[in-house]
Amino acid sequence: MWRRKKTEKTNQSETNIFPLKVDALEKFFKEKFNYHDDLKFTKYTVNKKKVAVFYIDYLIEGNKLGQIIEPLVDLNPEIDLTNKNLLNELPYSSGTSTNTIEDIHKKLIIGFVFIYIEMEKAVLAYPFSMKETRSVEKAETESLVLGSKIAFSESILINMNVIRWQINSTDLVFEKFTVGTQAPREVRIVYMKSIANEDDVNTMRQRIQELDVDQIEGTIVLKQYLEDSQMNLFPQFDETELPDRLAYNVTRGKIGVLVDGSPTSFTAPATLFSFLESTEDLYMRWQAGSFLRILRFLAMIFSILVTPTYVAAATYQYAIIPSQLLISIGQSRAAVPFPPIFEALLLEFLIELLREAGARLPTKVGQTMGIVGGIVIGQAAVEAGLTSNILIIVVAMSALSSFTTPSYLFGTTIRLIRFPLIILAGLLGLAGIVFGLCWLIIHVLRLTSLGRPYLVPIYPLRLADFNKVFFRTPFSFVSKRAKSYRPKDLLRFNKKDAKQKRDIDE
Amino acid sequence: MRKITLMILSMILFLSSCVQTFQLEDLGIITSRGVDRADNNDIEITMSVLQFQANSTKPTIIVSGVGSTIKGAVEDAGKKVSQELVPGKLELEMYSRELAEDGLKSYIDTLKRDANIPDTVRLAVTEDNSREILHTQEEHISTNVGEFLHGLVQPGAEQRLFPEVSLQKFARIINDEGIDPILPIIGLREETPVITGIALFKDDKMKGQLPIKDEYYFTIIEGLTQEELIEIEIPTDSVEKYLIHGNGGEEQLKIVLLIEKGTGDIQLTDKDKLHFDTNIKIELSLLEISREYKLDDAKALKKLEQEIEKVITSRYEEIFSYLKEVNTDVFGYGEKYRIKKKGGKLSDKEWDKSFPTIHSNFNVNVNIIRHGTVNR
Amino acid sequence: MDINVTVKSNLQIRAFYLFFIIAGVQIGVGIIGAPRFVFLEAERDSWLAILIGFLFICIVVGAMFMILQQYENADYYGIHIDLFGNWLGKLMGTILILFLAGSFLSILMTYIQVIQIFLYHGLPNWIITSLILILALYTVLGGIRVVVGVTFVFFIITISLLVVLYDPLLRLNMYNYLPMFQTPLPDLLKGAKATAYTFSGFEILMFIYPFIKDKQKAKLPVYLGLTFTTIIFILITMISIGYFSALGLKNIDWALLILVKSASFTFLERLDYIVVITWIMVIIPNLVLLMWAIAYGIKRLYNFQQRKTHYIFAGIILIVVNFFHFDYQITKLTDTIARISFWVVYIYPLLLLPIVLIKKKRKSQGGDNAS
Repeated sequence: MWRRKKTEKTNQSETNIFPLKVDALEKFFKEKFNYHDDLKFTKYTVNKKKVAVFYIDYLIEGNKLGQIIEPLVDLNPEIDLTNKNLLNELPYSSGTSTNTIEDIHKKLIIGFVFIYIEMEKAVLAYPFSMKETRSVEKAETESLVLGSKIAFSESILINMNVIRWQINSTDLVFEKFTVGTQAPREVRIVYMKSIANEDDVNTMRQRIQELDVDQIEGTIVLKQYLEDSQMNLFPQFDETELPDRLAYNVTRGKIGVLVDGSPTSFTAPATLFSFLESTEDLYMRWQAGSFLRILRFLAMIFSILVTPTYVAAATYQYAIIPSQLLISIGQSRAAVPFPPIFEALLLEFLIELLREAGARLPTKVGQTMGIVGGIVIGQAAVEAGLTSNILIIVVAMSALSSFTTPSYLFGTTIRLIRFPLIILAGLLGLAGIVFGLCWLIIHVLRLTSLGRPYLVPIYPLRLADFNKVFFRTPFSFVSKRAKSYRPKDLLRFNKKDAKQKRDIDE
Repeated sequence: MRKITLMILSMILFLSSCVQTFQLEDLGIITSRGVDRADNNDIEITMSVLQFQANSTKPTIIVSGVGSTIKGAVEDAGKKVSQELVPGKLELEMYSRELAEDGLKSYIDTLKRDANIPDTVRLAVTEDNSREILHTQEEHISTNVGEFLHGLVQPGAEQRLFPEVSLQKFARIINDEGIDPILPIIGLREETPVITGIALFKDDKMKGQLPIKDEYYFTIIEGLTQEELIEIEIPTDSVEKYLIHGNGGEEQLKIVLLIEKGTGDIQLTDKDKLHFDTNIKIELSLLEISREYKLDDAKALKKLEQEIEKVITSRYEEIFSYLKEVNTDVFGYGEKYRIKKKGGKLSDKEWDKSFPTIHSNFNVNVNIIRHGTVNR
Repeated sequence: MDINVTVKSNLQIRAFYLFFIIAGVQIGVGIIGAPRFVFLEAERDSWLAILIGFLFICIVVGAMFMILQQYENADYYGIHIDLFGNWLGKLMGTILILFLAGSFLSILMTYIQVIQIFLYHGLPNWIITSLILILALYTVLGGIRVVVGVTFVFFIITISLLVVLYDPLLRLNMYNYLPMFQTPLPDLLKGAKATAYTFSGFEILMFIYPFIKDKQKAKLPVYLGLTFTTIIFILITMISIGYFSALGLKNIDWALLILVKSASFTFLERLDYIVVITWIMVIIPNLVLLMWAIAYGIKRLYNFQQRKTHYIFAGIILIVVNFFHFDYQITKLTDTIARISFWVVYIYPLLLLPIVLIKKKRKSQGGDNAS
């Protein structure tokens, strides 16, 4: 949970050592500066005054540096060298002056270049910072068939740029925060001023402001700090690496969060069903989109239920299996020396191993790994009498279904839920499964995301939102935004205009 | 939250020792069983049991046991196999004729009382004893005995459709007033089990039997007939003028027909004298005829239909008088009487007395709606 | 203690959930065995008996609404205090709470009995109880919002179980319904009385009413909920009559479960197992609503923390269930509760109404005099 910041640490001692001689400054840095090895300290004499230029060379852009050193050195001899004059002469408008050591320290490590004219009361600072970033690339974890494939990169500037071009609106707000006491990072919340619910924005703002941590490792970590409850399995905010997914959510009234240096973003509030949505559904025809959405939903249920049901049927309620199937299941079970629960756990464990190994290895090796693991180990396990071949099919189907969730985090949750259910099924049979399911339903009912119910639009029931969540209808029917997120402005376009029909032969 | 998680964990530890497991490979799953009378008033039970062994080609075994009750006999049989015998997938239960004649009520009660036994169990009576039928050698039939027998009595599985007799239906009919149940009779022909007849019950006691070829007379009245073959012989003389090549010296014209749709309807016409009308409507399609016949002639077709009607009506009347003779009302005349009676109540005893005195007209209406690709 | 309840706006629920609350709390274990009880009295015309029962309930609910409308935002507990004074009012409230606890126990025990007959013969009472209590506790600790949510979601899920009734529908014997309208009126009334236990549960209205957001819209969903229950009840009873013989139905304890015994899909057989197990989802809304009403009542009467009441109550139930070993004990418990519920649920509100009206009249007169 997010803890309250005790008190602002503003009363740090501010030391002002200026004015002083350039040599004294150099000496000062040598003695007091933790990373003086990195510091480049160059001294020039311009118009009979000593001038020092200092910076950390790997944080700045070299060619920009040249562009101020040159005019500095070739300064018109008639000009009196003062801070004020220099600011006017140099071809960059971003220069500022500063006079505390602390400020200089902070700015040095984010790539400023400082110019100090001997015996002046302040130092001139130019932001020439250079960030090494990856250029925008194709999405890796959330791969799409249709739609824009651009993914977020590690630079928040690039990310904001991408989003701005996706939503070219004056309504779009990037609110800036800094999180982390020891190693601060820039955090931005993204929302549409005229659409997003103000309470939600305030809640998010408050949670970020009140967060008191030394540092955050990235968006996903920040997300965990900000979530309503950290004690449970389900992710409560929807993470994505796709700008168009973020843009879609933001234009529908959700709030996005970006963190500098992290190639993912997350949106809030989320619901259980928003994890099963993919922007691809929008690009498909509405029939296909609906089909895929329902398919994913069924796949989730199927993936959770199928292995436990096998275990329950093979351990307790044999009578629910149809007679013909019973013979084949029974015969393949007969060779297995373990009880069904152990057999199922073993095989699920194997599949999880394969999946995890595949994810850690480079792509090409990973694929081979999966095939080799699936075919060879599966075959061998059956022949060795470790598992029954029916179970291999069951487990493989369940694994396959769990891959269909667009959100990787949510997919992991589904993977995890299966295990307690298998154990319950092994202990109590069908009763165990139903118990587990009831527990899950109650659990999900109790969850909130940013204070909003997690199971909306089922509970609280909002029938009007069903066509945005469970299936899709043609766009002319979707004239309103989902009421579930309580947007300020519900209407997307005028329904009348969309419904207007021309007569035949007109 | 954490408390509850702890609770669950501790529960699970307790639970693992509490519930009796039925692991598939440790079970002998009874699919069919036959009940016979043994010495000393005991019951002998013979069961076809599914059991699972790795690399075994034969999934079923036949086990038998003796005891004074059904459960006792199953218990006794259970000692002879390594698996636990469970009835959850029971599909067929057969009773020897001897038992059926003494009454099946107590056996039906056992079946109904146990919540594990499905209500879809089919019931049957065996000609002699069920032991022999379950011990049929598997080379005579393509699959195992249990499945074969179940296929025999299950509607839709074979060409021959017997009126469906599941446990639920049988139990309902023996309790209903004014209607009596029937069951199929299974017997051995050339060492292969076949349905040989229809057992007629008075409540839970078997009273008489009819040959299986009369089976459609029952299904039509139930209104269940579909796609069923019948063979009918009519005297050649009556239709001679429509035969293209004359009668050819044959006395009987043999016709094979397919019942497309058959419906029956019983109406009470006189409440005091207990007169009934039994209206039968059958739609047929002609499949085979032993002589060439002028089927394109409307009159000829009409004549043929009339002759078929005559044959069916007379057989219905024969069956009806036999039913009165053994006093079992399997067509449910009593039920039709009951619903017209004031108060809607009719005791079995009352109907027992009046059933032999009732009278019924059989109005059979036959339509040949198709006669194949040729019209002669 | 205040007569009226002040409810925070974020705890209020929309009126239309009353439909699910009423229908969800009425459809419980009662309905599994109900066809038999009604049929014993009213025979083929059971549906008429049920309809009579339904009409009577409508009157009772009408009376409840009239009582509630005399107050700003009160529940049973507050009304008692208002009418009978602090001491007697608290006593009445406590009796009500005991009745609710009794209903809770009888629902739980009946379901345990069903589970033991159909699926787990050797499973001790306390294990089934603790499983159910874990779910119930987890729900009630989430507060009224989760209680209503669970009622709603489980209702939606379990309503799909009705599909299973397709199989007995195909096997009906139409002659079992004929001739109609033969049962004399006294028998019909007895039949209607036999519906009391099944139909009871709607008294929850008197407890949850203060939590309804738009009270002027509350009537329609409540009556619709009652109608829905009645339709389901009639449906199940009529199918049972057509499916079983008259003699058979009189001897069947769990008609609804036997009905689905022959149903099967190609990929799943023995749907009765599934129905028995999934019936837990029908029981839970019953239990959590009762539990909530009990704990909330104790909080209202004695200012005792709801959370603690839940834990203590669960503990007591967990101990009490172990005293029930035999079928007849459970039958006796259910019969007793059924008899009491007839008086508490059906007759009591009708008695209370005139008292409330008189009191109100006197108060308004007294108010005039005073001013």
